[in-house]
Amino acid sequence: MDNAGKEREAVQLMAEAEKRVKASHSFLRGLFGGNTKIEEACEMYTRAANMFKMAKNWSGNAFCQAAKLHMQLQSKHDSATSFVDAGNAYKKADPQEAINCLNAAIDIYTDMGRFTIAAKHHITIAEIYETELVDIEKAIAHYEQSADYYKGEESNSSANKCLLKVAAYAAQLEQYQKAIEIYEQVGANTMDNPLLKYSAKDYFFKAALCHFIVDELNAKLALEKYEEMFPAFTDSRECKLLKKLLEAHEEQNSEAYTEAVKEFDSISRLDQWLTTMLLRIKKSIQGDGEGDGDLK
Amino acid sequence: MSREICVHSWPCSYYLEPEKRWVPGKLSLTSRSLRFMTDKTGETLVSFPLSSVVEIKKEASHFVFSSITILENSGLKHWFSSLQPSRNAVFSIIEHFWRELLLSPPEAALPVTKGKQLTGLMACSQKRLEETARVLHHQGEQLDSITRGLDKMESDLDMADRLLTELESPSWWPFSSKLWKMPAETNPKESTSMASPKVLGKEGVVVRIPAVISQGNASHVKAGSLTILVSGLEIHDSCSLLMHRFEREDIDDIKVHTPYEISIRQRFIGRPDIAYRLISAKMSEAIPILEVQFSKKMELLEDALMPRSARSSSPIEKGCSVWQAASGLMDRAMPHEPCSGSQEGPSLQLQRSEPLVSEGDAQELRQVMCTPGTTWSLHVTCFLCLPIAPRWVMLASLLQGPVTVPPSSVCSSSWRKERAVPILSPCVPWHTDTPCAQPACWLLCLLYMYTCKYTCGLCVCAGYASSYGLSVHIHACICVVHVLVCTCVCCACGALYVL
Repeated sequence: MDNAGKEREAVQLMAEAEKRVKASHSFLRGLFGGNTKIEEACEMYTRAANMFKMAKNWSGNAFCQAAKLHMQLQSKHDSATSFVDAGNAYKKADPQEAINCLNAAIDIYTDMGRFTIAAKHHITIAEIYETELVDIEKAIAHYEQSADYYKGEESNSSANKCLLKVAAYAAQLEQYQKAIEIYEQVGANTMDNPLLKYSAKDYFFKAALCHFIVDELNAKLALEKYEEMFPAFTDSRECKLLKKLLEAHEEQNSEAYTEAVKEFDSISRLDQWLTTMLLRIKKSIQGDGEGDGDLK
Repeated sequence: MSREICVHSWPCSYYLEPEKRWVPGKLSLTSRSLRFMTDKTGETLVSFPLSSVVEIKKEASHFVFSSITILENSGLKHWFSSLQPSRNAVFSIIEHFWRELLLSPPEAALPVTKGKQLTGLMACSQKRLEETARVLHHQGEQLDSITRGLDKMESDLDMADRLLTELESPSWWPFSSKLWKMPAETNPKESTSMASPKVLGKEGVVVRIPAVISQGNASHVKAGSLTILVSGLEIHDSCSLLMHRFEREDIDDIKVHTPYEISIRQRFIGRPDIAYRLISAKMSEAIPILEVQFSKKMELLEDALMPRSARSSSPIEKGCSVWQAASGLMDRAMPHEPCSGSQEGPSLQLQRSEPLVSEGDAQELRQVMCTPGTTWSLHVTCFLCLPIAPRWVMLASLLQGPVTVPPSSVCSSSWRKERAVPILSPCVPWHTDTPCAQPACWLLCLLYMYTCKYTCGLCVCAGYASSYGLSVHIHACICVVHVLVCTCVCCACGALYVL
């Protein structure tokens, strides 16, 4: 009831704002204080947008209009903020439109040299692609862009976060080479950091797994390389598991493989990514072994 | 696939992507695959082996309806919603079977031992700690970037402040002395009360003179200013924009063409040199300071030497000229109340302290210092404080060149030796880690000690001697300059001196 009222009021405000914009276009107005009209219209759009928000009408159109007017008034920062607001509103109803708005905001931010914020919005877009639109390729592209920006601003931990996402998805899409490169790079970066060296083994483990899926021999060589690079890796459970898996794979022993994985899982539960990867490796054993039945 | 035993089936609805609608039906799970059949026609819409599943997720469609999404190898995402009896139950069962593909036991499961459980616990907490470390690192980085942002804001504020002061001064006056004096006069209180290195960096401005600048051999000249800092030289143009900054170590030579003209040069290998030629009416203020700062790199050409020698013949007089130049600086560096002002007390005392080092004192000082004996040289960085404390300029010029002070001559008796010797020496370690923390004050203290000594020949500034430890010492000195409550007790007669 109340919501409907709010919405009606918002629509009225929008109409009024539109009128003002039109008025500012007229010749005389253009000469005398056309800008104040636009400023007023801008404010009205923002108010209307907030009312739509209260009414839970997730159309970011009002914010978009406000952003465009801000742009006319040369206030880039306000314009970008409005675009982000519009994006947030659209996110709940029309993901594609949300992405467009955020992209507009990103353009403005990069223009102003605010790369950290731009990177943050790239992540938002990537997340929308990831969850709503399920376009993993595009999500990867945005994560990569974001990582680039973060790197440029020396925010390495944020950059690494994005890169790891890219690597995980790349591996899922069977672009193993890319995943390997990223994991190795992140691993090498983190192993010298006193705080981060504890997670380095994780990255090497993942890189080795990707190698494993491509080729067993590669995995062996990579494992040796990692052990040399990062001696602490040798003692980790991950390394031991890898060695066991390699052995089982060499013997084409599916049972030994399962046993090793199971033992690892009983201590720390495998996450979904690892499960997928280990399953892919296991399949290559079974493919030789029993000509399996689940590939129908 | 139909021969496989159906593990379970749940009524649910499936989202048809091309038609953008939900179809009611039944989701059934066998040990190896997942299948969805519609209620109406009974046709199988989806069927895929569990091994091709990449990810199973709990999600909400339209942010309201709880559903399960399954991502397939091919990148296809399946949405199942309105699951009966509950989404979580269905999710755990599907996930269980999916994992079981990987872990399916060849024989009976091994019993879990206590040790394994403990290892599991350890592994779990290790993982948490790793994550914590990662987050900590991330937050540290965020804090860093915040600091960077703050720095940027501060510099913007500085700029705004400078522009504002510029606006306040009349626009037609090209060498606005008001411009440079204003900030020094308006905020010395806050800038000296804070002991952060940042503020001190700002205070490091020794002198700033308007000058006409030409770069290299170009005939094109423009108005600007030369700023002598503790750490180097800066050349600004008329809009206060930094044209070039010479670091102290980078300057290769400074040529003094006339008392009004100098050129500064920094040499590069394989690149043209950076050279600036500066002409200023107030250059005579800057040259003595440059001479002290860059004694070895200064080169006086004939024109410059001539009037100089005419001006000052004896070293003492030369010292005095430096002293005069520097005392002008002192006025600028220290908060100065107008004499006619109502707050007479402190300012009067301050002014009285100025002539305390009179010509006679200087001479005596020189005599004392130049007595042959064990000598040690003060660290060069000591000169950092020169400009702010003009007495040091005087001292340096008295002693000619790098300062060598014979300690034994400063203090004749043994107890005074203990105290008096380190008074000069701490300059070295102290300055090397925090350049010029409060040199002005510190040196004033030094001076007062001498003053005391001359009053009755025996006493030493007691407050000073006892609170010799560095931090206390600096603190006490700040009081000397700005609050003027440094007390000295005469050891011999017990008389109290408030300076």
